[in-house]
Amino acid sequence: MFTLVSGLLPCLDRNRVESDWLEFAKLLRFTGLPSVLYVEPGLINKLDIGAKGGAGAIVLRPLDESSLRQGLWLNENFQALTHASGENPDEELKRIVRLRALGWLHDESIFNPHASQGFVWLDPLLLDEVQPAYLASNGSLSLIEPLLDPMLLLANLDGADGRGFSEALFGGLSAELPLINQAYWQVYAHLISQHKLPTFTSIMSILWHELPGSFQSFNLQSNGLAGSFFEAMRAGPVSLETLHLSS
Amino acid sequence: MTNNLTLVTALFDLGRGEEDNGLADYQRRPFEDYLTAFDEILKLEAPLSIYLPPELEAYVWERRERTMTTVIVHPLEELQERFAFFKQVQSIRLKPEWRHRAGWLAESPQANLSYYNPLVMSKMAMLNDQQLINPFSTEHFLWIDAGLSRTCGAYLGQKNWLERVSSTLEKFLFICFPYIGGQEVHGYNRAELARLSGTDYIRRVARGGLFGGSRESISKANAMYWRLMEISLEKGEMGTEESIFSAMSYLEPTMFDRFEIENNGLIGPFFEALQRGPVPLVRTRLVIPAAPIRKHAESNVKLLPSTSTICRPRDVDNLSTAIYILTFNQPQQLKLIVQSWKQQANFFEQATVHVIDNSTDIDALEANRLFCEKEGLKHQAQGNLGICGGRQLAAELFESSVHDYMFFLEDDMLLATPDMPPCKSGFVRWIDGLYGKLLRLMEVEKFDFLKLSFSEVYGTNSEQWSWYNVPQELRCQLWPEQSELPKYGFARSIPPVRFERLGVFEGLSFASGDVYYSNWPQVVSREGNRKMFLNTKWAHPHEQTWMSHLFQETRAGRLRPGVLLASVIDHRREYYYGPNERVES
Repeated sequence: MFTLVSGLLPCLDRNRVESDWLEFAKLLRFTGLPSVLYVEPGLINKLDIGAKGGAGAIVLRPLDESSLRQGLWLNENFQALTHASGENPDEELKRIVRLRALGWLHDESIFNPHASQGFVWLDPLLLDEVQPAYLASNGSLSLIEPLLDPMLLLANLDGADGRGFSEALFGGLSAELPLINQAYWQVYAHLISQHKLPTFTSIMSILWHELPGSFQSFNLQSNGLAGSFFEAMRAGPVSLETLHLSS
Repeated sequence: MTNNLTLVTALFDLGRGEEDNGLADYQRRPFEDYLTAFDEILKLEAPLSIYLPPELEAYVWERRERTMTTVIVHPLEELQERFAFFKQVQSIRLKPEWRHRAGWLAESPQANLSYYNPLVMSKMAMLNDQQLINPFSTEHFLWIDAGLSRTCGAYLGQKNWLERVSSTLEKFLFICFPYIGGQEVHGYNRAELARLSGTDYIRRVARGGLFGGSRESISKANAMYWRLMEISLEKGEMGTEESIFSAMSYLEPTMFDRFEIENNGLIGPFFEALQRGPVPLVRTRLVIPAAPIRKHAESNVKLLPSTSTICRPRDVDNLSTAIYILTFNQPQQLKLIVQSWKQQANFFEQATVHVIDNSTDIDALEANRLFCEKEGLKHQAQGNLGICGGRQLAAELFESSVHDYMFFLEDDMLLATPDMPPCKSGFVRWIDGLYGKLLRLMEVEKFDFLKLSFSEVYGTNSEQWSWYNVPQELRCQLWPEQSELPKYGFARSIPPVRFERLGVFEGLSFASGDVYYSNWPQVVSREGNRKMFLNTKWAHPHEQTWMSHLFQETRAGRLRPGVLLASVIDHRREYYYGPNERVES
């Protein structure tokens, strides 16, 4: 059993209207998978979250933009860097959401409202690049659980920096998340101290090498879109790469 | 001296230094440069197989000890026969449309030197030939370009790399660099190479200067290489050996470990990593996606967490195993089973072997003790515990040990021989490399126990023998149309086993599902051992009791058994004890 973690956070796409976010939440319910959503408080009362313990039940965590910012460790140093780089407030908020997603996965593995072993982050904008059918009940997404050990990342190998990792979807087991989460924030703090603006991708690219064996990656196609991953799960078996240390 | 490794190399003068050979200036270099670089290879303190022309043989013997060196001497021209695709390579390299695929290609060695591709494309064959001949009886083989020190000279002289490199050759190792952009890969049309490789785009190229693996992995890689070479040349496609290597790394990624280097293609970082310690290798595995186990699954019994998601497969080399052999009163039978299982490598070399000696005959006990002492086996004599009592003792010894897996064998459960015909179910009796495959399969599938023989004396694993032994109430519930046992003897037919999945792993076929327990040979995990024999203990255990209990545990989702679709066990007793001496528990 695994829990989907995602968000209804308008800062990610100001062009989406309220009904778009509610539709996304509905789609998550129809996955039949237990979920946790980090939600802009104004949307909470409009959501149908299903019966507690039922298929597709959703647990909501209210999160406004101020809390989103304040909840980021070293947020003042981080904001100084974003301001220095000329990043606008919405871009900064997007970056914060993607940076904090791994922390949220870790938090949920502790709260564990659905008593799950696995936790999968699903970026709220994932549906900009993949068909909703992949998320439907009994669709590809429902098959992901055996792929979560070690932690699953989607990799893009075409970047100039070698192996980059997608923020669209990743996940792992509760037993593994504490170690990864701790290392993740250490790297985050290190990058901040070096006056480098951290991203999920940049941190994970470092951790891939620093924590060999803790991750496995699915290599996306050249377009970098996650559709090939869902197709691969549908076709199975899925080819996953990990960094193995010779002994 | 190296760690179980043979180096393989070759040096021929291909005319790269000659004037008017069509090469770009930066591609032209005198043969003396190669000889200088070759000297560094000859200095390596490792068994070395060298392919070279007659005129270089004396050069080698002036610099190498014969005990550490073998030479395969033939003139360069002999490649016309040795390399099966010589004519096709000449035909392609002279075609203008091929030569103009990239600006640099017409001035490249593969386009201008008639023996360049025949030689570099023969590296895999040379490596494979040496692993077959195995002149130094090593397990790992590494191809190393004779000219490698031109780019890696300082690294080759470093300490320890030869001792450590074998650890990277567990599978077949390619060193790869990112290769993005352009329409060809060393002359091979990029889109065609991607098609051959079964991928959307070729992002990496595997280096031809240094590669290798275990004997088994080289054998497989060699077969694959020549098949791809033939397909490519047949279609008029040609790059160098690296183009085919790259395709191989995509086509069967689980066969190959990769060390990733930077896009300058220099392999120095590999040697640096060897100096640092364990080397990070990209390893690919195939994972079967599956729906999660839901809380509202059909069983009303609480399901165990899926063990397949808790642990990741460990390397066989890191696994510890124990074998428990149950014997009784016939020392010759004990010798027979030990001899039989030694047919397969690793069982007796890798495992701690316990002999649970139920013998009541003092002479037999003493003979068994002496035999165990001689063979390095652990002799356990606690009186006649009976067959199931012995089985229970094996479980408890295993629990108190540090081993990861155990094998349980009664002394008449011999290993079948390679020449045996298929079993009565039609399955093979012999599997090469059985030990490693079984452990890897256990690691990947997370079986609690895996039976080693599909066919047994009385029945086969296609029939659900638990049907005889479960409580009547359960029989009625599970098999309402066949709920009554026969009054006497065996039923004409019994319900089939419900298999959940058939799979193939490294050529080893297996099935999982409601596989019944019997005392036939099996490999058992630590977790499986606890679930089967320790969480519930029986005062007077019988095979039938275990069969019933463990079947119910399996149905409840708490136990994951498997069975090979093979019958590697030869049930054979040549030395008999009296029927009245047999004790069950």
